[in-house]
Amino acid sequence: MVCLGVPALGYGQAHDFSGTVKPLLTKSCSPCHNDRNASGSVNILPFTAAGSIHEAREDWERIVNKVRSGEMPPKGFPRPEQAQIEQLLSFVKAEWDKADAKVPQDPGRVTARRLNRVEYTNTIRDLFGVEFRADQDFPTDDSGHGFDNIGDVLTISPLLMEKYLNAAERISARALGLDPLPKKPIEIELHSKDKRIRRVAPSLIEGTHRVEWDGEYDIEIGLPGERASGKPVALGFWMDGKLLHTQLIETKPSGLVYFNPYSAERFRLFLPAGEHRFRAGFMDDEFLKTLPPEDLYKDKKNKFLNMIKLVGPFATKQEPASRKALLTCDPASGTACIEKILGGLARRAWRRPVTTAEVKSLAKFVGLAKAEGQTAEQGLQVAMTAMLVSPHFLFRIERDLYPKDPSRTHAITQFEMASRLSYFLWSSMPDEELLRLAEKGTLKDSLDAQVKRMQADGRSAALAANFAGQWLETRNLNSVKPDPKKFPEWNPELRDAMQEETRLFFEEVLRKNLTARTFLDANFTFLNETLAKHYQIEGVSGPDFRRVDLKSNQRGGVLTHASVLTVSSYPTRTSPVIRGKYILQNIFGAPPPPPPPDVPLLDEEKVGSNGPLRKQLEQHRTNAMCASCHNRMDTLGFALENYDGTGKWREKDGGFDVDASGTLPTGKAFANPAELRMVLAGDMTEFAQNLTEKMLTYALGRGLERFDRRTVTGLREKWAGDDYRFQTLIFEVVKSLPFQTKRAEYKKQEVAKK
Amino acid sequence: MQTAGGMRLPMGVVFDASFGDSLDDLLALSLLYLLDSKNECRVAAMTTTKPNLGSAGLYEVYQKLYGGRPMAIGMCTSGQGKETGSLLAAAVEGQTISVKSEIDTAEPHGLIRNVLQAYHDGNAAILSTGPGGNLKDLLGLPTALPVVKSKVKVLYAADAPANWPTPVVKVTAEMGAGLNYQPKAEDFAWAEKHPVALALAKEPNAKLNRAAMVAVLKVVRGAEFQVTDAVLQELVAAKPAPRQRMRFFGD
Amino acid sequence: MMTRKALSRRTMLRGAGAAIALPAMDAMAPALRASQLPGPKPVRMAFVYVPNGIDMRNWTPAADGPLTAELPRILKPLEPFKKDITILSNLTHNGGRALLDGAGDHGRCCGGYLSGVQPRKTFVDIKAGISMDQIVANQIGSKTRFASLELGLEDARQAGDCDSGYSCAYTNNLAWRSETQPLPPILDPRVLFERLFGTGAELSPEARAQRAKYRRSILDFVMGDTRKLEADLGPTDRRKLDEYLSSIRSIEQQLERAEKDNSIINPGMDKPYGVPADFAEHFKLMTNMITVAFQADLSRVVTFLVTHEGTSRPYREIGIADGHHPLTHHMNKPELIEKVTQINTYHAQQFAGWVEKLKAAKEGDSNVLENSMIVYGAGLSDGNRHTHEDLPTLIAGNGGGYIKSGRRITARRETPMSNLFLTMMDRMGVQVDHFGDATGRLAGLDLA
Repeated sequence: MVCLGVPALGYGQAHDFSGTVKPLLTKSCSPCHNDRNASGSVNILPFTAAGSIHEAREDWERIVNKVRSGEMPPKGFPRPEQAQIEQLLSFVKAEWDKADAKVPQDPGRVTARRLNRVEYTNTIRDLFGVEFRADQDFPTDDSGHGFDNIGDVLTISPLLMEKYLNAAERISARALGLDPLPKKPIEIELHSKDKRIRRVAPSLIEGTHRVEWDGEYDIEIGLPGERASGKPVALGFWMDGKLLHTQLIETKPSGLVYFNPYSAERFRLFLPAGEHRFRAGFMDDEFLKTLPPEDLYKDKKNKFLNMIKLVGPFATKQEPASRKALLTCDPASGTACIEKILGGLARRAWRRPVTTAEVKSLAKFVGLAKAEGQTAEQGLQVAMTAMLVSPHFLFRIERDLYPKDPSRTHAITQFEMASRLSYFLWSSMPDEELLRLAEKGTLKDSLDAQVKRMQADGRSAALAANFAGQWLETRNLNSVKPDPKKFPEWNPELRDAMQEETRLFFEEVLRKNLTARTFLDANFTFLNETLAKHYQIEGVSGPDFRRVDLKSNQRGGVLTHASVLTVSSYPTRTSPVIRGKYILQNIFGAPPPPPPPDVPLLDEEKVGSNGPLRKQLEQHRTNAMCASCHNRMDTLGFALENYDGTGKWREKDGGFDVDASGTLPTGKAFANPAELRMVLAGDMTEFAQNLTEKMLTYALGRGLERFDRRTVTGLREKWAGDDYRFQTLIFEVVKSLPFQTKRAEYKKQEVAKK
Repeated sequence: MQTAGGMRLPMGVVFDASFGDSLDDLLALSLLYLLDSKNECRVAAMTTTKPNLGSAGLYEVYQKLYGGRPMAIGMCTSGQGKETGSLLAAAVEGQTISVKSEIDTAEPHGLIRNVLQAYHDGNAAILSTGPGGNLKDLLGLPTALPVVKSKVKVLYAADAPANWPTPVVKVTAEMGAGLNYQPKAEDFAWAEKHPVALALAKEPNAKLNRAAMVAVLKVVRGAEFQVTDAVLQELVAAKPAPRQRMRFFGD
Repeated sequence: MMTRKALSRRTMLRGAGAAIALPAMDAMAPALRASQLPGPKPVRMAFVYVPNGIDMRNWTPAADGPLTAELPRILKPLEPFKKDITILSNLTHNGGRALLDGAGDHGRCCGGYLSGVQPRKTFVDIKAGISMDQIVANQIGSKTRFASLELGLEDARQAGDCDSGYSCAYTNNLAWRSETQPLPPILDPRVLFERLFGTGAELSPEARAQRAKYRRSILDFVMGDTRKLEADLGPTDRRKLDEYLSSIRSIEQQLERAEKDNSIINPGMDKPYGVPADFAEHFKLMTNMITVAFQADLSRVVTFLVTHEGTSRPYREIGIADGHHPLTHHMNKPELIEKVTQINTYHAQQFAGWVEKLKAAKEGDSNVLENSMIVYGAGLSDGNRHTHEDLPTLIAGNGGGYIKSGRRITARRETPMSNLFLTMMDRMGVQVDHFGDATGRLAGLDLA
């Protein structure tokens, strides 16, 4: 369990325990938490002994957190003077600091990490230039501590191993251009009459299909009907959002444009294997501007494209780039060439120098294939398969220098550093520059420059997608299902736009090195037309995202992103409780304990029937037991009630005016979400501590332990010194003890339940 | 998560008896439940060595009467003591009982193991005043042995198995020597049909040795606790205070 | 009945469930192989797990003994098969309870469902128990191409925590190969199809044999490499590589089995395109393939995690827009209980569809259902209060003439679910002395 560190408070005089701490406990806690009536099963008596600060540190941390956040004593009970509280907090912190200073810092240990699906995908991309979507084939990775790159929970099952083997065979064949194609081409027709085509815009259709083989495909787009007069129009074809092809649809002799009465436009393209989302449509379609809006989707008035047909695969005439890159010499020429190819590849695939013996044992597969009557290239493919199912590829294993003595800390190697950096910032393998520096032994001396370079590199988008997507839970957008009756505007375009906004926003903070405060109170965001409409912001048109300065105070910061607001709602409605919990958990890193099972969850259903939800919840909170958590949680959640279940702005909910005002347990009051953002951004301590913890967890690929608290607090304090500029956090994480060093594993003992 | 210091729950006590055969057991359970209502302990489970639904049913009467948590009652289905004696017949007379067949009861050894798991190490005890059959079965269950070892601080038993793995105190008639406490039906009048009152009405001269009551107090308050008639007078027949709901907000 | 049409080489297009036929295959073996062999038929076993408890008022029949009266509402879809099912009451998972671990009933009840242990409360260093299906798979798995099959319908939550301090590993998986190694379910019908009926179907028998040869030498290579690597690793890293090695070994065994019989099974269906949006369609596709797998004796052990504990999946298919889990905390409001009951019934309806298929699959004088034990149940009874006793449990099928079905059998209170598992393992021919928290075997299944 990781608790929040104690923030740096104004250091007062260190008073003694009996004068500073004990009276407060006795006066403010004991009335409920005593040995006869241990509310919440907490009896404060043992904590009135000075030694307990060290002996029961974890319990004490809970006490400190509850007191500091104002959760305890609960509303309605007398609260001690703020000065008295701060004295207590600073005394306890000073005690802990003193104790910590005596113990050498423990860097902890990272369990061997299997590549997760994202890392596998990216690594294959960077290794071969082959597109392979592991998420479409491999079982879901389990996650721990909110991230799916935690070594301890990334297990291997026989099923996954089967998948690894299949994937390795396919990938190496595809990389070499040896993947056997079916003898006859296969025809796939996505047609609107089979509901395999979706009309995403008046002149834009979409369908998904899994392409089984790399190869060329004849693509046909069905264009029914005709348009009177008009200019030629450009037909575009996209795959996974990328424009692959455009062609001009000519005017037919009759004077009508295209479709006569039905035409199929045909072109041939190379498509990589995998599930793809294809789109076809007219670009800058002048004709649409002549139609009244209500006719745009009417079939009679605006005939739309209704079919995408793929016929293939056909062998490509061009040598695949991946093959060209691999075959730097002719494998048929003999062992020297084979070993050169395999040696070079293994160094990259295994992210470290390889021994001659290793290369030779890989090269044996070529001999095996030849004995089977196959070519050297085919043998190469078998060797590559072996390379890709090897633990050296699938795992990132870091060696212990002192396997028998976990008390000794040592620096990780240059190559381990290269992989730590690349999987942290890129979710992928180290590139040539990192490997070369590692080989020269100078990588660790050029960390600043390398981290800077890596952040600027496009691959660092992975940090936004994977770190931010999990921290802010926006990955869950793929699984949430807002009720189409309540939220008719919900569709895949809006969903993608929401995801994109948060991703781009995070990238901006990262690339421009903005302060982390921006996450809470930004005055800009990223919008395209779809999302701008959703936000009722004018002047943004087209599918492309751009940075937009926010003029009103309705939006600003991630808590007002539709992505965040949607994943923290029920399918049919908002939930102040879930949103409050979301903020506590993801912003403050202090998730509330779950309610006991037999306590009915708060009844949030009655909006619009028995008076505003807020009144009812407040009533519920007259129970002191519930109040201690819900005071904070609900207040935060209600502050976001101006945003509906998909994040649209609203002034009323179920006929009642939204009241987003509130007072936090610390006494800070706000009238609306904009003011809440100011309050939150005004005290960055908790948020920064949380973000530091999350970033360190993600960077290391392990859960944080008690001993990491010093690192986290130290990092956060340094970070604060640079006004929380985002890149500084990344630099500091990279420079931190647990990122730079390690130790062997302690023998684990079952903890007795005492 | 429970850690050092003051976050301990009350000790759990498993009560095992040939229940309904002696007035001592009825009084002992009254006392144990009273201590439960004062948060001094928890009645963790009640098991009977008597293959008799009335015996199990009488446990249920206690649980409801004292406002304890609803729980399955353990009942042995073979062995001695099948018959319903006059004391038991009197105690269950006119009571509302939902235990109607064997399937409404639980196997004692599995039940005891299950409930012990809900207590912290060394924070449970077993009190057994009757034949040791249920305890032997418990030790015969492979998954129970480690649980017993870690959870059961002490066993007070009239008939303890020889290989019991934790400290044992033998419950003998001599434990009650020197005590003269006499229950009176009217002391239990706070309940409409208290089993003790019903039993006393039918069997005013039922034999008593008070050992089980002494054992209850020793289990809950410690071996050093001095049991006097005054203590029994104060507690055995007392009406339980309305319960305060306690909840545990774990991390 | 499964239709067995010739595989076409052309693309088949059928609305949303469009499918791609496999390209030319040779040496198609009939799917009904096991069923056509003389002699006693193998006994199969499957677990179908539904989350968030079941509304017991609408599940439990009023009386013990023969199921003569009309079945309660949730079980109504199984009415036609009432002679084929056995309803079990009072089975308990003590390990699902908090004991000392506080909140997290959803995580615990699923994490320990098939092992009868209490999973460790943790985000990372996960530990539960080897599940009974895997004990069986270890013993009899070598007789079939796949020792066991794991499937599900719902993808894991991708971010955030799963239940109050419990790793998502506990709610994402039903089968555990060891204390620390959960087996993830296959969710995509295409992936299940490819696993069961092969990629490489387009290869000639010679090419397949060659591929098998390469695979074996690749596996040898990586095994040797791994052993060297393992030499001086810490215990946890070694455990990770052990998992890797044991997975490699299981593939080797598959290869060995395939060597004896590398014919391609004709599934009698086209390769599914992907995950259908429709729940019922998805359920049907997956179970149809399992039916074929049972018929062809590709595997005898299946676990099916329908959806996850704590899932917020709405069921718009039947007009329910609220999430399943939030609904189960219904605070005893009739209108919410009604919706929960509808979801429970909808699940049972899908299950009944599978039972029908299994029953229609003839095997000599009997059928696959009679030779199976398909357990349908949940890890919680009351989802509102998170109770772990009287778990809703039924068995469809007779386990090869063993179970006298058509009855409700009520065990004594607190009877461990593990007792049932011990009895089932006996039926699968796997003798185990102790399992989970069992106190003995569950008697009476074979007594009318």
